[in-house]
Amino acid sequence: MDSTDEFEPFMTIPPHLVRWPAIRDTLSSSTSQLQAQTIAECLPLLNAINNPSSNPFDFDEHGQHNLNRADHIKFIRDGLQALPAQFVAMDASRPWLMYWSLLSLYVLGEDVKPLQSSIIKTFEPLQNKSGGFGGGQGHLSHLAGTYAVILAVSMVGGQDVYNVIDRVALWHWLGRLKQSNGGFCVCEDGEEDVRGAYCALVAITLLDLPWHLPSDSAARASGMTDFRDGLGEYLSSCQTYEGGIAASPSNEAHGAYTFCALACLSILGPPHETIKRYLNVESLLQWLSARQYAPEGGFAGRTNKVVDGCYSHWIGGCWPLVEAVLTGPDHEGESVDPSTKARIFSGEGLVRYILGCCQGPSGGLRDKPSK
Amino acid sequence: MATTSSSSSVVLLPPDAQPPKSKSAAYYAVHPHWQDVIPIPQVDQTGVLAPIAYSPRYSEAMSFLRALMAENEVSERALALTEDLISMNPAHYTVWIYRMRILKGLWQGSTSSDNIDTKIVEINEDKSSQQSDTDDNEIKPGLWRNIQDELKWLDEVSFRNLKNYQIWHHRHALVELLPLDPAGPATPDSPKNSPKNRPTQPSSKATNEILSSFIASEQLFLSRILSQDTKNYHVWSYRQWLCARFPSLLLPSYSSNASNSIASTYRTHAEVQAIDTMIQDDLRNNSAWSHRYFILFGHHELTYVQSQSPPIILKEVNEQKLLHKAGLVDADLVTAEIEYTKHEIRKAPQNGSTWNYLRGLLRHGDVRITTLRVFCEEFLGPEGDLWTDQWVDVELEDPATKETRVERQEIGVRSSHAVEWLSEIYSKDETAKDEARAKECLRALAEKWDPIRKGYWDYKLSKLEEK
Repeated sequence: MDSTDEFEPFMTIPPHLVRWPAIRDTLSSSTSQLQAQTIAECLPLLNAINNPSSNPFDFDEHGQHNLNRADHIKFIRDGLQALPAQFVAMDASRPWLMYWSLLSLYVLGEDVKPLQSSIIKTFEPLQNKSGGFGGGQGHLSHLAGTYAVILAVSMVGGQDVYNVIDRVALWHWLGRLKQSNGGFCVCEDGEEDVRGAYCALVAITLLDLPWHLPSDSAARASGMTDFRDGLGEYLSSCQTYEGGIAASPSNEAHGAYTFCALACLSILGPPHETIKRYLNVESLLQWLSARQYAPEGGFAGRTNKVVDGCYSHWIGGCWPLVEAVLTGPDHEGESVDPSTKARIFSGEGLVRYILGCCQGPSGGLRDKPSK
Repeated sequence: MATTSSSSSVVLLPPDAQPPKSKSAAYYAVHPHWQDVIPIPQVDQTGVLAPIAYSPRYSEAMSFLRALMAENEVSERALALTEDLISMNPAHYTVWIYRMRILKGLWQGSTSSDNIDTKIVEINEDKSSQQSDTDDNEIKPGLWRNIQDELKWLDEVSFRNLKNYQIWHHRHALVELLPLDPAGPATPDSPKNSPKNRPTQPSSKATNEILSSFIASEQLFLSRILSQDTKNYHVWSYRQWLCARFPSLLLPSYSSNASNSIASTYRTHAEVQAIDTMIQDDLRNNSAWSHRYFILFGHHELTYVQSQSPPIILKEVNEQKLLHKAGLVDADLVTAEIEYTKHEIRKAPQNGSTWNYLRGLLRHGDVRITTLRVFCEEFLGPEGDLWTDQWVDVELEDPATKETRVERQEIGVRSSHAVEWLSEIYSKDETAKDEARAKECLRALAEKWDPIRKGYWDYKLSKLEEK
């Protein structure tokens, strides 16, 4: 495309991003119907630049909508205000409301330090004397909420904010969550899955907690002495025949749990060592690559599910970790050349999906256009 | 009609009053059974982020919950409070966990009547006593009735809240109270069910009958709920756990091995038939295929891994053919499933679930991918062409009239998965290696069949070119 043409009427977007897939089965099922619906709702948005009724000034030189930063910032800040009664379903997830909003502001370049005192007021009542943070006031401590609090604190900074966290009690609580199969429950009497392992390791490393198990940890009865004991083996047992990683051994490979496992391994040690040691990298890579669809450009979380904006985060986050395995210091003759920054996934596809299909008309991002 | 208590000016509700539908009416504060409780309100300072404007009913109920939990109260009224809160916020994990603790406490040996009263049962912190109903691997009829009642309530809540996963963990915790499987191996995730804790006596006929009928009704319930939400991750996870917990009842493969194949009988097994039905309804349901892999093959891998001390890394099981060496691979079953999967692939050759399953079979059974060369080539264009469009306008001539017409025919490539497999097969086939064709497959994928994954295909190409 000649960039000297000021009014290029027909923007060339890579064909595979604006057309139906080259191969389609004749046999229909509810999965293929839903998949077709998803493509149908995305195509007009992906190809919007070529729609004569579109305003060409809404698009950049790639035929792409801009990121509506101001609208998104307003959406996020509105979301931090009082929520109506219908949001009671979020009462056990208050740390997430805080964290996701804060993270979004942070990556959009907003200064989040002014929120320090609000953050303290929000998470301090969620802390339990026995250690850790619950999803709401008087809720049992939970690793997901604790993770969200710790990361929110990391973003906003401040010694006063950090000092609110009772590190010793949290360490003892983590000891109660450690299981003899190497993993972690997400709360006492709660479920065990790879989220637990990931959130626990984030807590231990960011709060600089000792790796050795508290003396009152039940896991010591199985001979364990360290939070990392059996962890690699446990995570390895969550890899499925498809190559991705499941919530627990025997479950289905899933994007969010794959991220948790890869991230956990990357905290346990350098990814080119730990991921390579504990996982079948070839099958992981194959599965991960297959998560990206065209024309949509976004990622789906499981085989034969539809794309969803949230996997831009979960699957997107896997790629730097897996690429580190392929380009890590001990690779010999691996072919991904870090200097050319050749990506294995299509960054262009993902960007077009997010900007074209996931931006809400009045700010905020969504799963897909119909959601 | 409210009555006035003589000791206060508060107008109390009648003792049998149930929680009101209204979101604003007071209930616990004015109920005679709750007068001894001092509620603990939530304190949100100004400046708190994303505060929720709770309904007065919810705020009140939560204030009473905090008070009860602070004392670890176990009682019928506490149980009723958890049910009330669950109806207002089914995602409230704390309430579900507290409910389970209350049930265990009440079921352990409370002699309280069925009336809602304020009798408080001392919670027994000694968890080993919870095994008292199952130490001899029997189940007391009272506990079984209690579990059934709770399951009946839970079933309804499950249908009303399909996307909720606290519900499934609660079910897991309930079913955990049942006796161990009379004749099965260890479950992957439950060390307390490890072989050394297994009961040494077989269970009674009565217990075995209870477990059989429970499993049958569970399969029925799971089929019903999955018909509403066929890929619900938490339901499938629960189903996997259930199969591992009751292997002799649910796992067709639990006793299969190299010398004891289930290949001729497994298709009539109830759990296999349940999966067959889901696959017939939607052959692209990856959750169904994933479950199939677990119940036939994955279970062996995980049991083997869990039985090793110190624990081993799962991928090494396949890399070092440890299952084969242990005689745990049912080769006839692998063969039967390969044929089944090929049949399903032919129905919809672009379906990723079937190809992934097939790959799992090959890895588990240590079958070389090159044996599928001819099968994969079925899905290419004329004379094995790698580039022909799936659908081509073909000119046909009527032999009698010599008139020509154009007809769309499916003669080109109809599976990008086949092309992907062939890139591997052509480079690995010892007898008919074709490196050039292997590379051409990858180029065809990058340029035509799956261009969004060009980065991956180029990476694979570079690996071939290194050799």
